[in-house]
Amino acid sequence: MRPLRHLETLGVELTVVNCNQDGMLDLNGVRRALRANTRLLVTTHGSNVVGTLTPVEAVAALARERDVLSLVDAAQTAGAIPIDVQEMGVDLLAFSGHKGLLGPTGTGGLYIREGVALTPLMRGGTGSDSAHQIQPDFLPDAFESGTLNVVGIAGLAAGVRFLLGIGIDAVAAHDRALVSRFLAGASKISGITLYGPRDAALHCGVVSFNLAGATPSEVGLILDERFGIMARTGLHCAPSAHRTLGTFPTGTVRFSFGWFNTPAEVEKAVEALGDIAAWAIQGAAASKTLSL
Amino acid sequence: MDGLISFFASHHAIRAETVLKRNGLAAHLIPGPKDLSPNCGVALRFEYALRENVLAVLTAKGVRIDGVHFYQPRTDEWNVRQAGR
Repeated sequence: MRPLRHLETLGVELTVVNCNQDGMLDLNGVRRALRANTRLLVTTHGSNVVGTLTPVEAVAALARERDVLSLVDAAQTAGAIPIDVQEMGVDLLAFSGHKGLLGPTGTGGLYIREGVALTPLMRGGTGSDSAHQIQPDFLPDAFESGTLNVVGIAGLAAGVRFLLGIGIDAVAAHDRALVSRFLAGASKISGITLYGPRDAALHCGVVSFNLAGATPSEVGLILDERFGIMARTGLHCAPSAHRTLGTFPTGTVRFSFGWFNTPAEVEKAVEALGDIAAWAIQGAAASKTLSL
Repeated sequence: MDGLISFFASHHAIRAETVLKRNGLAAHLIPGPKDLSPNCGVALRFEYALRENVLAVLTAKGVRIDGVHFYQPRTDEWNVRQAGR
């Protein structure tokens, strides 16, 4: 949202379409939000807060129907959910390398459909068209100025090769099975609130929850220090998503399951949450704080 | 540890942990409790009794902090539980 809010200050008009409480996007809502001057339709492929998947093919089809470009943010799904940009019919698709694609941090990419006119963010040497002082207009050189992070990109390629050896379908099935196991186990814990759809087929590998009587940071701390389980707590840099879920400003606790997680680990996490939930519900002694 | 320092940016929190440990002062990063530190994802626990020393080191090293708190979180009960196991 931050780049979009910045564009707003430059005079770009922004219309935000809210999802429902499970993070599901209503296509009719998108249709209603399209205006005569709408130029670009931006969606996430999978929510980084609750894991809900967006029906990107339908969104892209709607964009085409209205002669609007579509951009998908696949940060949560690239490498974890099969993606075929041509089948999806999207014009632009951004991905980060360090999540599902198993690459190093600081890597990522943008798919640009041939024919989409885009202004580069940076201009400079490309090792091509060297006799001219004007930025080349062909792909990918138009957008690849300067010295690329070759070491990082080589690491990303290794991650991609590893995943292609497994098959993205197999990764997706694995993640879905873990989400399904987690939702089934966690829903039996008294005092837990699960956010997002209950159907694992509507999820990428991300789940979000809260325990009654404990803050997300308390749950995250105990999971980390006493159980050796990593979670991300709080607002996940997504305040409007949390407003939609009704969890702003407290936030939630988030687990992200991936290829290297096992069903046994999910069981252990559910068991740990059961212990923490029991402690929180019993009404643990109050924290003592005093600020200077 | 019964003290907590909150920060505006994770950069300063991580830097604080490094300089305190280098100076022989106990320091431990935790997820920032929302009620004390809405600004940043991580906060730092330290010995409250040593706060003057701790703050002097941080000031000398140019580490910017948000606030200093006395902090005995109820999650410390889990340390007792662990010890009793």
